[in-house]
Amino acid sequence: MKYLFRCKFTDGRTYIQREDDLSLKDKTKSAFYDVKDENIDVFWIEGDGHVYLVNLIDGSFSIDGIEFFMHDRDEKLNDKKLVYYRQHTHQFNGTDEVNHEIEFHFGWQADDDQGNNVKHIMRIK
Amino acid sequence: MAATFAWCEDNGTQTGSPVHGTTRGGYGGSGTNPTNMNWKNIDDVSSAYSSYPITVPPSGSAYSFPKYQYGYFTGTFTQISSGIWSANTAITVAFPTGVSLKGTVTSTYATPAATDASFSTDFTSVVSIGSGLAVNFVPASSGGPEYGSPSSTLSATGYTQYLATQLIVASTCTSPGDTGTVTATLRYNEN
Repeated sequence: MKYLFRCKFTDGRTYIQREDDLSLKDKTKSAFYDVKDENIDVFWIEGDGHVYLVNLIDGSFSIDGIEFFMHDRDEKLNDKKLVYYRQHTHQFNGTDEVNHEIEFHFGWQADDDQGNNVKHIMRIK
Repeated sequence: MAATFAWCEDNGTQTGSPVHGTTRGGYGGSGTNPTNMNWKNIDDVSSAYSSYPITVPPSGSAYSFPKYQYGYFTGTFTQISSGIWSANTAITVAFPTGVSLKGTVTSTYATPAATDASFSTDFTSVVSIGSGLAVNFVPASSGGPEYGSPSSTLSATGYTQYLATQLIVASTCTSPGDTGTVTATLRYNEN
């Protein structure tokens, strides 16, 4: 896998996704199963010499330590939750796969004071 | 290790409840997966399309036997979601006049025949994956692509719905021969 994820939980523990992407709780599941229901403060993916990070406390992102925001910091957003998935795009000529692209999507979603769901997602190829 | 994907295909007389093909290539990891997606005048995965061409009719239209293919996900994953499919995201040479490709995403199998399957989406021109058809999933514990209550997410080994296609040749076709090679695309999210 091009990028492996790590995260720091609110209680101070850290989690490191292994190369085999197997859950430590349930070997039939992937590593994300171990973190998806946890309270996470910081989540990042690293690989290919780069680190891409999302801070679920203030909603900031960073690339190789350079921090930025993708939302108005005055916006009232409640209870930011991690969003993470790999988007697979398979192209086939007949049943022969001729291309398989994987794009890493991660960031956060939250509700504003009007109940509208807001998402800010970084996409890394 | 993450999710792995393989193509499957149903052929033959509808059977079972809900109905599915009598012959299930690749179903349940059987290893008899289809190795092509050729539209032809026979309902199987193995016959050469050149031996079973769709002949330009003197009037009206001629139809390939519909292809009822579907995907099979195995491996370890937490969830697969947001499935989307297009039967034609690229083609080497555009379909000639009078030749059209229709498709649909469905949980309904019908015994294939060389008649109009009435698949509703026109894939004759390129349809980018962003404009493709939503695909739902069925856990293997519930059944196969024919299962009547598919879900937008999959959390264990399972299938897509049928990704069905049919080639149609009208009497107006003046360029018989092999069509261009069509690229189909399937997209989904996995974590």
